[in-house]
Amino acid sequence: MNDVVVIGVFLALFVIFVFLGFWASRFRRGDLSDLGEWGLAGRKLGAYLAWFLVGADLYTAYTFIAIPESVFLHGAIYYFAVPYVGIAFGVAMITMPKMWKIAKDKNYVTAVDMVHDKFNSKTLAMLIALTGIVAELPYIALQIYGMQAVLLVMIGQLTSYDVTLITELSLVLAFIILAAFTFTSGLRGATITAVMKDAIILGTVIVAIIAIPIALGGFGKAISLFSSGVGVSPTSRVPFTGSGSLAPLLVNAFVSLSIMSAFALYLYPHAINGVLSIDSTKKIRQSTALLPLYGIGLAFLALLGILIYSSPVAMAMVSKYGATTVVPSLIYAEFPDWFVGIAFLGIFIGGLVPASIMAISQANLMVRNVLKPFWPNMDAKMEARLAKWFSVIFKFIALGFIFLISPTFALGLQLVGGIIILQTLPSIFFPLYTDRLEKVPVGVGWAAGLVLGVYMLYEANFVQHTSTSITTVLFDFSTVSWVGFLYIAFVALLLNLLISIVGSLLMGLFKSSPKGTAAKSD
Amino acid sequence: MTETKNVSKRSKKEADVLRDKVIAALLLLIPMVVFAVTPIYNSSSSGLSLFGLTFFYWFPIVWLVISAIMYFVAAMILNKMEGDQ
Repeated sequence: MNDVVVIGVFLALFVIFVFLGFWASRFRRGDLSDLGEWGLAGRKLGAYLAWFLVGADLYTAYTFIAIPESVFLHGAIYYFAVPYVGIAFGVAMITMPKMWKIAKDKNYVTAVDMVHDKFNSKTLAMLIALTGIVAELPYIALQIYGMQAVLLVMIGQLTSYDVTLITELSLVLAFIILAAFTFTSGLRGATITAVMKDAIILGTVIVAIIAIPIALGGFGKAISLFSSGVGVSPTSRVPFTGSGSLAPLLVNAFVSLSIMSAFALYLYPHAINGVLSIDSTKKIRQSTALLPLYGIGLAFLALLGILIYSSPVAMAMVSKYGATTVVPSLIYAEFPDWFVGIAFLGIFIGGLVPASIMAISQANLMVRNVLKPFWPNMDAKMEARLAKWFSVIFKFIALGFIFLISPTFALGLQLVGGIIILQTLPSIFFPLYTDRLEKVPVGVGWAAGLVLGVYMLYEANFVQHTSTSITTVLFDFSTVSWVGFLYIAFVALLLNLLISIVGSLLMGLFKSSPKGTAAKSD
Repeated sequence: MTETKNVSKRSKKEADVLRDKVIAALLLLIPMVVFAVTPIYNSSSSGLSLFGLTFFYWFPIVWLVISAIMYFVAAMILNKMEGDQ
């Protein structure tokens, strides 16, 4: 294998990527010193670009690195990502056109603008904004793990000279470049580069899902090797959740993971940001309806976590570089140099572009919903300037995060983010349909959900398993056998919903009681 | 005479709108329920395997295609309703 070719192709394409990122500022030109222009691309995206932008949130390191890693190590349960994608776009079809209409009428830039108006509460809006910002950080960190995995394989195969150091330096360099073009081009930069990213990635996925199963002798053989787990250290495979199908105790865990992830997706600031940048509700419906097709690629990438058991070369690489490198290792082992270069670049910018989109949406929230209430006279130019700087800061916080904690369970990062972001569901989705929710119970529900979620996470990881890092997001309810295990986010959201709804109903009763039934007529 | 005609026309239109709404709702809900009720497809029996993949893995993939078609039809119905308003 000629590794110079791999790196040469990779770098050449990266140069084009960077050029596109800067050039994008001229695309459907607008005044980029305005936040709506910088952060929402002026709400001018049509159905195709919207499909790419929202789809770009889907084909990320989550798909390429985290899901295959988790399936590879822990088995069938992490295939939950497939039904998750199917459900998520159904949820979006129902909620997002409504959200867009309200935002358009009232000129909202973020979902939290709506929370602020509907509940008439600065405090609640600020809490929800901060929740979104915090939940987004581990998601960005996951993207960086993905980029790191590609660099580890690429640099590790080329040289044995301090691979970790070179990898980290390359990551920092890539982030500086990314920060620079996000700063100048805003969401336009992310959208245009998303088109390049998706073109490369779709090509890679289609070739990989056809060629790899054929080269490795099909799924049947791989599934039987997978169930016996040859070539993987037994401790890293604990707990194993099934090979051909799910173990019965984990069925509810699978269901709760997929449903909760589906509801979480469109609560994330970057997803809502993407939807709000589209130019009509009709285009939102059209582009969302076809997004489940993206999930087919995701499903086959998840299956690479099983197929790799048939490839001794790739298995050896994974034991050297770690389980996050399942897909890069397989690609490296099975394809010619030039294709490896293209595919690696695809996976690399597959982390970079979403990281940019996520940081933009965090910056929008930070400026509009956290800082502006304290500084109401801030003009549009200042808003945009601050947002640009915050998008830089958040990216580097996430990067620092990676250097501080060691990658053990990449998917765990995103699933912890899910526990956090789901607590904003009553504040963000319910006001689309009803005005009867009250700010106090919603706020209390939010807090209770977060506290319970964090407590259960602590209990499951550090008390019941006595591990030193987060290795699970499931809670053991197997004393009741028909329940088995559940995703912590589900239990936390249940408590949150109970408090929000019952509390609001009770307050509604007390409010209308002095007026009696007459209040109903208006 | 013309008045009753108008009334029946209007109620027919309302019935059409209701019918379209129900169809769109079903097109959205059926795939979501199928994905969510995992016991439907949690099977590794070899008789149901396809290209060596067990039912558990291939069934949701097939439903991704079906759901995209159903969601798209729902989108067309809902977009048409919105256009009529």
